[in-house]
Amino acid sequence: MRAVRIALVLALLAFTALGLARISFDVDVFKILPPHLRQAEGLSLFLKHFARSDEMLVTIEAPDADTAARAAEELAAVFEKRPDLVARVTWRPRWETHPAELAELAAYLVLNAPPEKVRAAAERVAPEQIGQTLNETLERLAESVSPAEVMRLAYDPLRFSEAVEGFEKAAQGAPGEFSSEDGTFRVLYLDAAPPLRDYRDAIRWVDAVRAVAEEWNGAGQVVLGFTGEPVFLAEISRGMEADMKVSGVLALTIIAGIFWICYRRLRPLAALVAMLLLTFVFSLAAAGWFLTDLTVLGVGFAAIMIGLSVDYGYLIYQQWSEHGGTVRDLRKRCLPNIFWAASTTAAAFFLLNASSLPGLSQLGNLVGLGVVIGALVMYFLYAPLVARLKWRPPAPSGIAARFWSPPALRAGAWLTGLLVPVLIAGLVVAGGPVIDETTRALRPRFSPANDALDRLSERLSDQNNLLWVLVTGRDEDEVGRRLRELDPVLRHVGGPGSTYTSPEILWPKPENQQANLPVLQALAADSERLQSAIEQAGFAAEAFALTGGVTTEWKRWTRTPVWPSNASSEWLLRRVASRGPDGCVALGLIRPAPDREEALAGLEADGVFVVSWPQLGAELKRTVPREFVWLVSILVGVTLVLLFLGFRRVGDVLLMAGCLLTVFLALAGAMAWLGMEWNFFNMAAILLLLGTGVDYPLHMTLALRGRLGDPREAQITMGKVVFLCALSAAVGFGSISWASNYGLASLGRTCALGLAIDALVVVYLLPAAWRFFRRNA
Amino acid sequence: MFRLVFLLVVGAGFAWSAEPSAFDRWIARQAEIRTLSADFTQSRALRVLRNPVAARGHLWYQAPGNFRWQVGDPPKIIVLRKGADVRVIEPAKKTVKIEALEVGRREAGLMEFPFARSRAELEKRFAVADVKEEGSVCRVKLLPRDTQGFLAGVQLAFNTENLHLLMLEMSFRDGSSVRSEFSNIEVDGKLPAGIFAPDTTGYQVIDASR
Repeated sequence: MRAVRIALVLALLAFTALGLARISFDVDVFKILPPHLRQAEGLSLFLKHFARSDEMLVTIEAPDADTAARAAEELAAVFEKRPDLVARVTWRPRWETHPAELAELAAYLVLNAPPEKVRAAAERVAPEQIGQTLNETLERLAESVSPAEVMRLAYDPLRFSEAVEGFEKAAQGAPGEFSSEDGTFRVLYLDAAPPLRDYRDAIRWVDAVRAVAEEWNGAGQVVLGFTGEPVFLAEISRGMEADMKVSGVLALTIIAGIFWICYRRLRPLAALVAMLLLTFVFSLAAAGWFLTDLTVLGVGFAAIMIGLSVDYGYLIYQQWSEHGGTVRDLRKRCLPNIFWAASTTAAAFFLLNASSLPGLSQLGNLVGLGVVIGALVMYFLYAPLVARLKWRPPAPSGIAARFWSPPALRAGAWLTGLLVPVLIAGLVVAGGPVIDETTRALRPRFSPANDALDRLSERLSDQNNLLWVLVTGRDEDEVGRRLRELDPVLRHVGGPGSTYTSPEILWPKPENQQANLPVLQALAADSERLQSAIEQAGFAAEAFALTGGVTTEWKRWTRTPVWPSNASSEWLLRRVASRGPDGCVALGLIRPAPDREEALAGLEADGVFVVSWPQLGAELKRTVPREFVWLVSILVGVTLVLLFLGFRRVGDVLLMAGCLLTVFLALAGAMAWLGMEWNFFNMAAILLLLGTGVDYPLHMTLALRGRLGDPREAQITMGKVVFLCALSAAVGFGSISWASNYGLASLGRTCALGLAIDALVVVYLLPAAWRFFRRNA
Repeated sequence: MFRLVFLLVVGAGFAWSAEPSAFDRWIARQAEIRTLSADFTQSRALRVLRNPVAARGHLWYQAPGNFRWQVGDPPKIIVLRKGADVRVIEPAKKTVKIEALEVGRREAGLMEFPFARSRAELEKRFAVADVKEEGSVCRVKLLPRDTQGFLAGVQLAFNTENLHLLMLEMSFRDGSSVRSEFSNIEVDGKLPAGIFAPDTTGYQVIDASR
C-alpha cells in the first residue's frame, strides 16, 4: 500500500513537472480572437508575413530637421559600433549608400516586364539603332523638367527601364519610411544581432538597445521612441509575467488577510494558503498538458481561480467551526454546497469554450479546471486537516458580533434596498450601457511601444481610412493572377476617388520572366558593345555603371521564377511580398471613398483579404454580442435546470433567478454611473457572474431552507460565508483590474463590481424576500 | 527649374524701407510684374555627361498665378501652372500629367513654395552668401538652410537697371546643375491669347494629383 502511495505521489510530481515545463507565453493578439473571422484571419496573415520579429524601430523627434537628421546619423553610428547588438542599422534609403545594389532591382523589374516591351527595348539597342537611341536620351536629358526622369536617364541611357511601367515609383520604395515631410521625425530600423528565440531573448535585446540609445541621448536632446515586434513581445511578455505573479500574489495576500481578520488563526490560514498554491500548481500543470501557450487573457486565471477556490475552504472551516464533528460529518455537510457551487461555476467557465474567442475559451478552461481541482483539494485535503487537527476559531470579536446583530442587518437591508434602485436608475439617467466598438480591448493598457507606433503612423503616413489588401496563393502565378483580377474590382468597390497601391509591379511574373530571360541574356552577352556605344555618344564611363550591373544580373540568373535577393531589393520587397512553405502573399494598400470601407472589408474573393483594425472592431461588434446572447441563454437554461434538479421547488428557483436579474441590472447601472464601457471581453462577465454569482443565492437559500425555524440565524451563518466568498472572489477578479491587457483588466473590474453587488443583494435582500414569500405562501 | 523661376517671378509682398539694395529692389519688383515673356536656354551638367546638354524654350507669366514653361518650338514639353495644379503636357506622347502643386514641389525637390513672402522669410530658407554688383549686373549666391536637402546652392544674376532676371543656376549635392539664361525679356506686354489653355483634346490625362 505504501509503495502504491509513493508511486502515486511520484506520478503526480512527474505529471506536474512535465505539465509546468510545457507552459509558455504567446503574445499574439490573434490567439485570443475568433480565427474564423475574415478580418482576424487577414490581420493575422499580415502580422505573420509582414511584421518582422527581429526588427526594432527607434524613432527620433527633434525641434528642427537638422537636429533630427544629425541625431539619426549619430545614433546610427553608435549602433554600428555595437555589432554584438545590432546586425544592421538602416536610417536612410539603402541605395543612397549602396547605389550598386539598385542594379539587381532594375534587372529584375525589366525581367518582369511585358515581353513585347522587352523586345522593343532590345531592338532599340540593336547595332543599327543604338546611336539614335542615345541621341534621343541626350535630348531628353536636356529638356526634362522631372528630376526623377533625369536621374533615371542619366544612369540608364539605353532606356531599358522604359519597358517597366512605373519604374521610378517602384524603385523609390515607400514614401516616408525614414523621415517625416518636415524632417523633424526620423526612424532607424535595427536588425537584431543575437538570435531572438523567445520572449526572454527579446526582453534582453530590447533592454540593451534601449540602454545604449538612452545613454547616447543623456541630455535628452531628442525624444526617443522604441517600437516594432520585439519591443511588443518584450513589453507584453513582461506584462504577462507580472500580471500572473502580481495578481496571484495580491489575491493570495488579501485573501489570507481576510481570513486572518475573520478567524485569527494562523495554522488553518497557512494550510489554506498551501491548498491554494497546490491548486494553482496542479491547475497550471494540468493546463500544460492540453495547451502550451498562455495568452494575455489566460494569465488572469491564477487570481480568479484562487478567489473562487478559497470559497470551498471558507465553507469547510466555517462549517467545522460551527458544528465540529468527524471528517466524514464535515464532508457530508459540505458536499452539497461544494458540489453545486463547483458544478455551476465550472460549468459557466467551461461554457466559455462555446465562445468563438479562443482567449476567453482558454481563460474558461483554466479557471474551470482550477475550480474543480480546488474543490477536490479542499474537500479531500483541507477538510481532513481541519477536522483532525481541530483548528477552532476564537469567539467572534465585538465588532464582528455587532456587524451581524439584528439592527445592523436591518440597516444593511435598508441601505442595500436604497442602493440597488439608485444603481439601476443609472441605466436611465446615465445613458445605459455603452459598447466600446474599437479593438482597444485587445491592446495593452499602457504601452510605450504602441504609443511610439501611433506617433510614427501619425508623423510618417496618413493611416486614416487605409486598408491592407492581402492576396494569397499557392505560388507566384496564382498570386499574380489574383492581383490582376483584383485590380478593377478594388477600384470599383473602393468607389470614386479611391487610391489603390498595388504590389503587382514588384510581384514576380514567371511567365514574363521565362519569355524575357533569353532576350536579356543575349543583350548581356553584348555588354561590351553597349558600353562602347554609350561612351562614344558623349557619356562618361560612370553612365554605364548601372547598365553594367544590370547585365551582370541577367547573366547570373538561369532559372525562373527569379526573386531579387540583395539587401536593397529585400528592403523594398519585404514590405509587399512574402513567400514561404505554405504559399505566397502580396500586400497592397487601398484608401477607399469615405463610405466604402465596409464594402471593401466584406469583399469575398478567393485568397483575398481587405483588412484594417477598425474593420476588425466592426466585425467583432457584429459577431461577438450575438454570440454572447446565445451563450447566456444556454447558461441560463442549464443553470435553471440544475437548480430545479437540486431544489425541486419553483418558488426558490424563481427567487434565485430574480436575485440574479437584480444583480445584473444593478451592475449595468453601476457601470453606467461609473462611465465603464462594455467590450468584447468584459461581456464575458455576464457568463462568469451567472456561474459564480449563482453560488451565493444557492448557499443562502440552502441555509434558509435548512433552518426554517430561524431564518435570521441562517442569514448570519451563511452571510458570513457569502461575504467571505464574495469578497475573496472580488479580490481575485479585482487583482486583475490592473492587468496589462485592457480587456483582461476590464473583465476583472466588471466581475469584481458584480460580485460585490451580488453579495449585498444575497446577504441583505434575499433573506427578506424569502421570508416575505414564505409568509405569503 | 521652371518652378524656381516661377517662384522668383511671382514672389509677392517684398517691401521694406530704408535705401533698399539692388537685390531688395529686384525682389520687390517681382510683385509688380503683371505679365512676362522671355526666351530661355537651359543647360544641364551631369556627372555622367562629358559635356552639358542644352535645350531652348520660352516662358510666359501672368499675375497672379498663370505660368507656362515651354521647351522647344514646336513644343516638346509644356509645364503649365493654373490654380492648385501643375500640368506637364507632352504633345509627342499626347499626354497630360496632372500633379498637385504640393506633390509637384515635393517630387521636384528643388524649392519650397512660396519662395518667400518677405526678405525675412527668404532668409529663413536661404542664407544670402554673396551679392556682387559688376556694372549693370548683380550676382547673388544663396545657400539653402536645409543642409540635408538635395539642393546645394542657387546663383542668380539680374540687370540692376531694368531688374530683369538674366540667369538662374541651381546646383545639387550629386554634383549636377541646371542653368537657365534668359533673353528677349518683355515685361507687362500683351500675351498671346489662350497661351495658358493649350488645346489638349484627345490627350491621355494622367491624374497624379491625388
